[in-house]
Amino acid sequence: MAFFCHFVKSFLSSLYGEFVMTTHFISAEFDANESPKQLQREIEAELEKRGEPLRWAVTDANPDKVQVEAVVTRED
Amino acid sequence: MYTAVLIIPTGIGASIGGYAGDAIPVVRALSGVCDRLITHPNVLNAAQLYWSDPNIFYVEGLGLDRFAAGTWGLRPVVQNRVGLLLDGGIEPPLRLRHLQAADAMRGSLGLHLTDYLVTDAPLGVQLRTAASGASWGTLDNPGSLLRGAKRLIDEAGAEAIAVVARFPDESPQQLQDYRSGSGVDAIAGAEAVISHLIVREFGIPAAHAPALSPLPPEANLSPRAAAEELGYTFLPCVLMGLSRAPQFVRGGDWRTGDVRSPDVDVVIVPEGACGGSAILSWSQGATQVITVAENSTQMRCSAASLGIEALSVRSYLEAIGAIAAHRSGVHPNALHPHIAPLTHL
Repeated sequence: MAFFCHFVKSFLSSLYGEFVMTTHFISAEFDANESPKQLQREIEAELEKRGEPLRWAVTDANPDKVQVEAVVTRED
Repeated sequence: MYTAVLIIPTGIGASIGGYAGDAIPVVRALSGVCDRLITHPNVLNAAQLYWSDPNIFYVEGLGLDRFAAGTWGLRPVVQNRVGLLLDGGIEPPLRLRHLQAADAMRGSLGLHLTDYLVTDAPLGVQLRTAASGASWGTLDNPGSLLRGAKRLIDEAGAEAIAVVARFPDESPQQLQDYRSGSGVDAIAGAEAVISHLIVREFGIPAAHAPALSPLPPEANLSPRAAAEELGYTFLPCVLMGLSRAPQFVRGGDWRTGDVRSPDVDVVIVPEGACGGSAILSWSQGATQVITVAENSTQMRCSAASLGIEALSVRSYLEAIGAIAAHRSGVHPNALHPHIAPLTHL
C-alpha cells in the first residue's frame, strides 16, 4: 500500500510539478484544565499528527472541554 | 514605540469587522493612540476602499500567528513588488476587469507590480461552513496556486503575492444576510486558506481578493457591506495593503528596526474569539490582552474560559481609552469614581 501511495504521489508530481497536496477540515476536542501554553502545545501536536496545520482556533470552551476547528494540508 | 495589535478573525461573523472593511474606523481611531498598529487583511480590506498609513502594518493571518509565537519577525519596507496571480477559472471579461484594476493602481497610485500570471489549472474553490458557524473552504488545486506563486517569485521577483480566485456564488440567503449586515461572510474562511498556503510555503506577504459575478443593485444594503458594491473587483485594497506590508524575517536573522513579538504592548480581540493561536501566544508574556464585548461573533471562547488574564471592555471606544491609559502608565481602575483602599496581603 505504501509503495502504491508513493507511486501515485510520484506520478502526480511528475505530471503537475511540485506541491501535490489536499486541504482537510478537522474538528477535535481537548481537556480544558490546561494552561494556555500547554493547551496551545497540545493542539499543535495533535494537528501535526493529522497533517500540516494551516489554520486553527478554539471555537468553544467550557469548564471541561475545549472544541477546536482546523484546516490542515496533506501530501496524499 | 507603543505597539498595538488588532485581531478580528476572518469568517466568524464578527459584528464589527465581519463585512467589507467595516473595522477600518476602529483601525483609524486606534492608530491615533499608539505608535504602531499591526492588523490583518480581514480588518483592512474594503474592496475598492482602503486606509494606508506608515504606522499601520498589514500582516497576513498565518504570518501574524508566527509573529506572535516569536518564530517570525516583521521588517518594515518602503514598498514591495507585488505579483498578481489570477485563477485560471476566472472568465475572460472578469479577468480583464481585474487586470484593469491592477493597472489603475499602477497608473493612479504608482504601485510597483510585476507581470501577472494565470494559474495552470482552475483553483476550484469550495465553500464550507463548520459546526461552530465559521466559514472555511478547500481548493481542488492548491498545487496550482503554489506553482503560480513560485513562478512569480522566482521569475518576476515578486516580494508579495496578490491572489484573485474565482469564487462560487453564495446561497441567496447567505448573500442577502451579508448584504444587510448580518450573518457570516461565507467566503472569508476560504480566502484565509488561500493566503495562508502562500505565506506558509514562501514566507512572504500574501492576500486574496475574490472574483465574483456582478450583483444586481440591492436597496436594503448595510453600510458595513456597501464597500463591496462599488465596482467590479475587490483587488485595490489588497494591492495597496501588500505594497507596504512588512516582510517576514525568521529567527536568527534579526536587524535593528525589526519588530518582534515581545515588542507588542497590547492586543485587542473580540470577547468570544480568544481561542486563536496569536492570542494564546501573547497571553503567555507581558502583552496586555483587551477583549471587546460589543464585537459579537459565532465563537464561544472567552479569555476567562481559557485561563487568560485580560482586561474586558464593552466597546472599541472604551478599548481606545484603556490603551491611552495603559501607555500613560495609568491603571484603568484609577479612572473610576470609587477606588477601593489597599488591603494587607
